[in-house]
Amino acid sequence: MQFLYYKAYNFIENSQPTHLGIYFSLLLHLSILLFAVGLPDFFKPKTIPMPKVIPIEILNISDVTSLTPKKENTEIANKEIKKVKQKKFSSAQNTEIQKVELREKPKKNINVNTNESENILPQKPEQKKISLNTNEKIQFKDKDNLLTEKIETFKETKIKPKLKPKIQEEVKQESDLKIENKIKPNLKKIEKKIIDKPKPVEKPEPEFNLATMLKDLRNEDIANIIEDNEDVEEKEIIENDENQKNNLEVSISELDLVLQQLRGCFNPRAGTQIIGDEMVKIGAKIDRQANVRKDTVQIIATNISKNNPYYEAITESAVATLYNPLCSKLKLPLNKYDSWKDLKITIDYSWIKN
Amino acid sequence: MKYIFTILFSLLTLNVYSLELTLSQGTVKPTPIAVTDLFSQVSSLEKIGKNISSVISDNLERSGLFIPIDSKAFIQSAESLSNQPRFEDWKVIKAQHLVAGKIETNGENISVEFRLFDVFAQKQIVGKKYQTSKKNWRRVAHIISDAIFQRITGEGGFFDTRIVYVAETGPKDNRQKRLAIMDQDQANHRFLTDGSYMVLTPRFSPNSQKITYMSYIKANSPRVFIFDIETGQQEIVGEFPGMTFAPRFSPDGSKIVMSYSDPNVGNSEIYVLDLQTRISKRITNNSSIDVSGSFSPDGKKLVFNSDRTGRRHLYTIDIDGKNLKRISRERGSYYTPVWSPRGDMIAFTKQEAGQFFIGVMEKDGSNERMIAKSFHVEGPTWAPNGRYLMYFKEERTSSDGSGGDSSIYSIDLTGYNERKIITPLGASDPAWSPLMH
Repeated sequence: MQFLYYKAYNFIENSQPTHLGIYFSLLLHLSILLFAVGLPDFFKPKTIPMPKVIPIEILNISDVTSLTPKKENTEIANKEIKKVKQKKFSSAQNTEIQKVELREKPKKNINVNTNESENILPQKPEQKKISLNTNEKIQFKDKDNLLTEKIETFKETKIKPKLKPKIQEEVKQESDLKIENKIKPNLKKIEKKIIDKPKPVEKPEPEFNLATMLKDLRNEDIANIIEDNEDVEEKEIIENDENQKNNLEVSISELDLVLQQLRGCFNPRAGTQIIGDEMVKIGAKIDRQANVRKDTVQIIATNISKNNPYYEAITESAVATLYNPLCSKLKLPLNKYDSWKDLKITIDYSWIKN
Repeated sequence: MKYIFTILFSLLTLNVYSLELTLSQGTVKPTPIAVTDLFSQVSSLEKIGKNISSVISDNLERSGLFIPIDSKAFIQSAESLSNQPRFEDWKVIKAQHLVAGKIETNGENISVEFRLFDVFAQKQIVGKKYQTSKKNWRRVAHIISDAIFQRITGEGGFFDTRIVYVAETGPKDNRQKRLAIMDQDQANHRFLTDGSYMVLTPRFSPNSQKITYMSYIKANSPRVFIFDIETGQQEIVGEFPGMTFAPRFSPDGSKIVMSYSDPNVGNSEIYVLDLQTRISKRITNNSSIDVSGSFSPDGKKLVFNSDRTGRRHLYTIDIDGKNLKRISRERGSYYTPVWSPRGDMIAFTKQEAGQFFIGVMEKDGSNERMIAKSFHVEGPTWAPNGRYLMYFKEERTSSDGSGGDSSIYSIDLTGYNERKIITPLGASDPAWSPLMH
């Protein structure tokens, strides 16, 4: 070993100082490589390259097919029948269901209230007092007839609390608002049973926790709850709208259909002289039924000079395209209203010259 | 710059939900129009009201650009219509435009009021009232037709016009030719000359009150004459030693272009004669035959035909005799060029391969196309709006000498809507007057 050290020392001593840097660099890089990769294991058994195996499931195919589509159909049919059966409520119950749908959101408020009331015991009596405040209810009734209607319907269905008696036990006071608050969760359950909706309005829960708590403390729960409900509804609508926006674009075939319809309605006035590439851009508002709204058809832009003697004939024929009775109802996809509620048509007259 | 980009980007990324379409095809078809009887509370005027609306309807139908809807289909009565139209009733019968009006008496005169409605847009687009004597009801109808035609198509009308032509009777070898005049709808027909002498190539003056034509009052010496329609007076245009023929008024009516065959020269040249000073000016100077001069609408150019290249071709030349230019390029012989009142086209007669054609070309000779053809068609004349042409067509004479009748036809510039103009006798050399109002 001493010999080796000696040799190395001599080598370093004899080597030129300019080369030393290179050696140190090499050494440093090697050490980094060793640290990163490690020493090669020369004793490791050689790896045998294995072909990539694609698993195949082998299935025996008999002469007779074993598909049973009929069962699926029958299942679906049964489901449909079940649904139909579920719908076979009395008319009163049906109306309740509809109203429940409208009041899905307040239920959560109530749930939140109960949970929070458990945590904050001293505030419970205040909550009750608020709920008993009939004056506010009356005021609210005066403000919004729709709400009163809702309340009244719940009054009619006093039997319903049976579905969830717990809430009834908690608050025994007789007031419209109380009933409403209590019934809501029941109705929610009913709705879940009747309509196979998987927890329809659970998203806004965390928002309601704090908000409703504070509102309860300020004796403004009723109005605020309703406001919150409206907010949630709005949010839901917005969410739905956002989801729909992805499918808003009118497809090429749908465009073709409406273009074909418009071609039949575009009747340039016979006799009008087209000199060059006259164009008129018109715009119109379309209602949800794809009808052109009256007095909304207007010329947005045109390259025709007003001095052109044919200006009126050309522009009027362009506007008449959308006033044509054949195009009073456009063949547009009704479910994509947002994409075509504002319609703009560039009418190119150059084809007449050509 | 950064802010501009930011604004632009934000504008571009805005979700503006609007459907944008480009419509580059439609259907050109005659416009359905409902022409209702003019309403009158006076029973004696009801007939005039009906007649006026009937003339309007016929005029519009004849233009080929309108389809008058049968009055049996009308839902709203004329009386109710005189107050306010119910547009839905007219939409139902697919009327795109509606003509309504009323007629009232004013002593000896009548006042005729009409309104043109756009049924689709549900608004009135024209409303006018005319006062005239009862006997002028037909002229009022034509004026109303012009107003409707102009408002809907954007082009000037041509209904309040007259046609002068050469009425022909008798056998081929002894043909009697006289001047005749009628309204464009063939009403109010009358003869201007008695047939004792031959007349050819009549042309209207710009004010429609005078006609210039070539006449053989002096045997073997045809002369250009001017005929005053109102007074019936005729005057000869200059005393020339040779033959003058093929006259045509300048757009302002102050000059006449004609061909003059000077016996000293031996060939015919184009001359312009000032009607005030009676001084004539030679425009062409060539050993060939130059005939059938016609002014451009601005009066600065002339188009004529000449055989200076061996075959008859069309040439344009400035009124001062400069800038001579041959415009016809195709094979065949070209005759009777007429400059369109619009100034963009020239109509002509062409003979090629044993056939005659009525054709049009642009003023530089491009886009030549034929719009009518027959054994013998000749003498095109433009309607004042430059959209229609009239010409005469001669049938082939059969081996037994029968046939050979000539008639006047009108045709659309596009070559469609050819219609025979009914005349009491054979007709040739039509000339369409300018608008009379």
